[in-house]
Amino acid sequence: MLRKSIGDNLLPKDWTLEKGLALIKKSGYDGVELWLGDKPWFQMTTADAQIRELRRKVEDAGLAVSDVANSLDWDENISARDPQVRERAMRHVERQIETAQLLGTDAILVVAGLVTSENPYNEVYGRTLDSLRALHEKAARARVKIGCENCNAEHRFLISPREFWQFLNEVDSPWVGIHLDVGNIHETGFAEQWIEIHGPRITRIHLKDVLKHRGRCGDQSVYTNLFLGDNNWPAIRAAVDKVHYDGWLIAEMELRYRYAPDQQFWDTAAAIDRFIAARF
Amino acid sequence: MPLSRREFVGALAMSPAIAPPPRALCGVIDLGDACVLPESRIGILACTFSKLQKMHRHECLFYVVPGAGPVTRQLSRELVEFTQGGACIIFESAAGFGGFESQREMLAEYFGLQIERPVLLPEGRIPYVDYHWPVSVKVRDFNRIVPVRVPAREVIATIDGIAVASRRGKLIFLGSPIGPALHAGDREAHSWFKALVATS
Repeated sequence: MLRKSIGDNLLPKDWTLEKGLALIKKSGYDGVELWLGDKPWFQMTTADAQIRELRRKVEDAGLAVSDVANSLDWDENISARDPQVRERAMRHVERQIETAQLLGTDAILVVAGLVTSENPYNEVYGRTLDSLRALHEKAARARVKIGCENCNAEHRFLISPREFWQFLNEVDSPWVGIHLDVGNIHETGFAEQWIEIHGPRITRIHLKDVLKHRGRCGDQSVYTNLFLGDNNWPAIRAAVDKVHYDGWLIAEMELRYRYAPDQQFWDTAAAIDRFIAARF
Repeated sequence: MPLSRREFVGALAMSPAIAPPPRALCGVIDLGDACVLPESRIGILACTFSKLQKMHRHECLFYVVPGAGPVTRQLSRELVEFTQGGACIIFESAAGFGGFESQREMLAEYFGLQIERPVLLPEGRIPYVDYHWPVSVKVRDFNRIVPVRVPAREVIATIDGIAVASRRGKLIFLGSPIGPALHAGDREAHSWFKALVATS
């Protein structure tokens, strides 16, 4: 059954966890995506006992943890040139795996590979492969899937669906797949085709819409609310059915409302309901 | 078939039973934890003519010390012995990631080579090291370089006019790691490395 989730990173900064979970539940979600490193209640220093307490609070609110994401990969990536930075990245991904187990979910999200002008593509490819091959054993033992998010234009890596597929072939582990974000594909393709190609390797789906012809400049966002952008949502919905994806749909919204910030949660939940029902 | 005395002695000299065993072309010295860039070791080992070399053996014509961080006096003495035995040493410094002080002392004391503090290269630069010898190629730098202070005739590579590799006697010092580029399959890095081994 397709289920709705949304990230705790979208909660206003001054909100408590309890207040945020209450909103997520009340606005119609089934789960929450927890972002390691983003909110005070979920940091690298958060002890196991506190993680168990976090799970209890989520469940008391009538929710489940859909997956564990992180906000650390952009500063500490498993493809980093500096071995010490890479080691820290490995450690936070390992912590994601550990906490996923404690939180009762079976998937994590990582931004695997980050190409920059300083960190060239071919090096990133090799290091990311090596890192994921090393992480796969821990993931397998924990029975937690590592979902590598397609960040396309943002991480400038594995831009085409076939290359991403080939990359996962080279990783060669059933515990490493793709956390498919339908809003990240921009001008480089079509989300429905990514879904078709990756099918059983999809660990989770991120939902957001994208303004394909806008480009990204400064703090101007190309991302927008569901149905306001250029994604072909009926085609995406059909592709989800085609590959028999039956898991979490997780809203990853960027646009934050200037006033009444809770409205984003309500609007997005209503849009996901229509997406699930295929009422376009 | 009759064999002349000269032919017999010549054949005997060529015989593998009598001639010393051929020296392997290239050995990669495993520093263990003191290799602070393991991908350098992988990249250099991936070159088909390389093999992992234990210390205390003098059977290669060429030795590479990949991704070097902290170095010990024992290693320094071994490297000197290798050069005294006729072998070339490629010392790939990764001191930008650790071990600078010990490298500075070792290179000065045992090889008379002066290196300078690691430099973090600025963003937006042209990201290539220009190798001038033994072939002219451009290979990506690795962000943090270790400049080397040597006479111009000993410089074999520069970046932005800074000397980052040198050749002094049997020691080739690399202040910008090339192993990661080898690991990434960089054609120019491979051609440079092969040319180096062929030349030395």
